[in-house]
Amino acid sequence: MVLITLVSSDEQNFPVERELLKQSGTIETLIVNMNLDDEDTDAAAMPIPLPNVKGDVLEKVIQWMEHHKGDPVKEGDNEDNNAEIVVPQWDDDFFKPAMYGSKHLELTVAASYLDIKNLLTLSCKAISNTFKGKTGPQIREEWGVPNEFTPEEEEAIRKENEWSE
Amino acid sequence: MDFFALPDVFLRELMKTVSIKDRLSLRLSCRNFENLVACTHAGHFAYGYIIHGLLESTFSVRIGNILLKDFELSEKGVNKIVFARRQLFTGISIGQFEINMDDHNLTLEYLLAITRGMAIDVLGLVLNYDSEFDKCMQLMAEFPRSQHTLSLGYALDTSKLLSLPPLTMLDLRCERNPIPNYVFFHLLVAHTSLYLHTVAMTIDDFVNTLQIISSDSRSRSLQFSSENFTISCWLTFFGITKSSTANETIGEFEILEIVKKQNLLHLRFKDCLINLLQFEWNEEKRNVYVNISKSATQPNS
Repeated sequence: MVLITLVSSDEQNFPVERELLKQSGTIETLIVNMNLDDEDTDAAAMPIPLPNVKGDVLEKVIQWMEHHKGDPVKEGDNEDNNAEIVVPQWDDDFFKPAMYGSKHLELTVAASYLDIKNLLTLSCKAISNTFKGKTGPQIREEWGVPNEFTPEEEEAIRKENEWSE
Repeated sequence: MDFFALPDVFLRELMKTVSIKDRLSLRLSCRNFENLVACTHAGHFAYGYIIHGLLESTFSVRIGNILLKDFELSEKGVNKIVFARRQLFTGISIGQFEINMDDHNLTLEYLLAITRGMAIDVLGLVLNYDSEFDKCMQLMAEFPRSQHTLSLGYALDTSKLLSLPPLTMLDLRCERNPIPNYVFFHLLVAHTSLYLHTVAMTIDDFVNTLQIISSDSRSRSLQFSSENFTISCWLTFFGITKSSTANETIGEFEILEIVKKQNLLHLRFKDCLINLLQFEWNEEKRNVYVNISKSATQPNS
């Protein structure tokens, strides 16, 4: 089993199975550019620095990739993203503990930086599920967003929203 | 970590997964969300349509799980829905979008304004009045990257029928007169799926039809009805008789299934699957429904 070492922004080393890293477009490109797949290259001696991802976040990303090992890897733009995506139970449980804190957002940003499309899609959908069926004030409260609207402005938006059912 | 300080790419991805209903609620949560809702793509939704509203001279637009309802069928009403759309998203992708083209007050200009910013995979048009035919053709031309389907509720003039652009599906079941075979073959070659009432067809025409569908690499579908007696004669000519059994291969035909209770005969001819519904040997009065289908084939298969 070939291991490739990832180095987080706080200089923690994570040896990761080569196969898992195919899920990350960014790391895959780096592996190709650094010739780490060549038999003559000593991959263990050439760690991949990831200056935009902290150790605790990278650990979560690796945990997610391990669970999704062997899943088909999405290519191209996430054009099929939609409101009807269902977050599988395992992923829901994985995201939930840190949902309203900065950790989940950091994980999602890492998924975007590392170009792990399935993780980005599911993570975004898990966030958007927190909005599901909620009112504006409920979303505000759950996400700790201040209310900047005057009662008149709020009423105007409410009126605009009346076109729909 | 400030939600709104996150990279644009992340916010755009996030907003593609939010339903239209939830986008409306987000607008009411804070100014940043209100702006984010207005400045992002809404993602992909399986279906949508424009219908007459509940009130007279109004229309409504459904997109996924939300109905934007009862807009006045006038410039003012159309401007209102354009405004509503601008508040909700910059663009949207829709799998199938259906429009009933019958209302002459719903002009091409209005339809284009309402559908602006929509990337539609399949544009499905329903047409019941010939007076709206040109509008229908113009609207299709405005969506050159979409596939088109057309359901006709009246018998279209042959010259117009032959001038239709290639369609994913053409439904002509309202035409009760048998379709002449030269028109039928034109339609069969031009369009992917055809739903017809009856066709003036000989046994050679039927074999040619099977050959054309079978040799096409695309997914194809054809439905028409014919007299039981005619189909019985054709099958007998091919060597398939009342005593034939399932899994039997006769010439180029294979009998896949016979369900006598339901009067169903299921055959294969090369890559075509043929379903005969309400089929009874030598029954003269009732019609049999013939469904011929073929799945898309891979280039190397």
